[in-house]
Amino acid sequence: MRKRTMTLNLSEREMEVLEDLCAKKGLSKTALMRQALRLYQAVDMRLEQGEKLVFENEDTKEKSELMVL
Amino acid sequence: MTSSLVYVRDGRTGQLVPAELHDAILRRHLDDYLQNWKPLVSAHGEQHGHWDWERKCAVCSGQLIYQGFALECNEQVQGLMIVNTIKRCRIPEQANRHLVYVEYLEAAPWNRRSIPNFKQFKGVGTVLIAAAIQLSIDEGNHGRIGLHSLPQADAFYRNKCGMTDLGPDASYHPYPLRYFEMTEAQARAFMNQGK
Repeated sequence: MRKRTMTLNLSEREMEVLEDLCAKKGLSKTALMRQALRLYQAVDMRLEQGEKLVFENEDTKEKSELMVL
Repeated sequence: MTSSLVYVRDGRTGQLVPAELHDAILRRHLDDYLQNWKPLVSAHGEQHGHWDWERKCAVCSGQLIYQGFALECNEQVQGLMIVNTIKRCRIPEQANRHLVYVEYLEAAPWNRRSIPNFKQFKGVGTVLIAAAIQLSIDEGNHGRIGLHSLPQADAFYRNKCGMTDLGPDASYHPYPLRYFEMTEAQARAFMNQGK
């Protein structure tokens, strides 16, 4: 797959979060940002189809909806 | 879309034959599937006889989480695969790490043992699994892959691919298919098999 390059400007806080997540997931910054884009698109498509994004607690089975704008 | 040179084995002579691995499923692959492949699968009543690659591709196209692969040889599609790139591992030692999840993988019916006059080409499934592992490496996931296997393919994933069998997955619909996962070490061993 052919790749294209861009420069990404992040705040200090955003960069810290990105670096923490990269360390936690064992991913490069590029790989993590690509995952984030895929997830964003997947969630957006489902929301546009009228679905909701819901998290369920595995133990209590309590469900909470994640508001996505 | 890019393609790369890979090799499969002629089922009769055992000779290596060059093939092209595409990192997308193109219209001509689907046309080939519809004309030559689907009628054979339907006629033999296989476990995945209901799979419709045209419909699967229509659902997945445009979604970044999915990537299709097509293996072409002798100007004919020999195998198809769709992977998902946002799923996570289940084996405790790599739990919650990302992997490449194989949603669907199918070799053309003339390349399978279950079909009479089988094995025009050998190694189609192996090449596609290697492609999933390579994508996992390229994505920074160190070769980790996972999949739910149809019973007819359990032995292939367990023995040939060396994946860990985590048993039937009760949460998988509509049937509790067995879930298999490959670790980084297993991926390395698999990729070194042909060397």
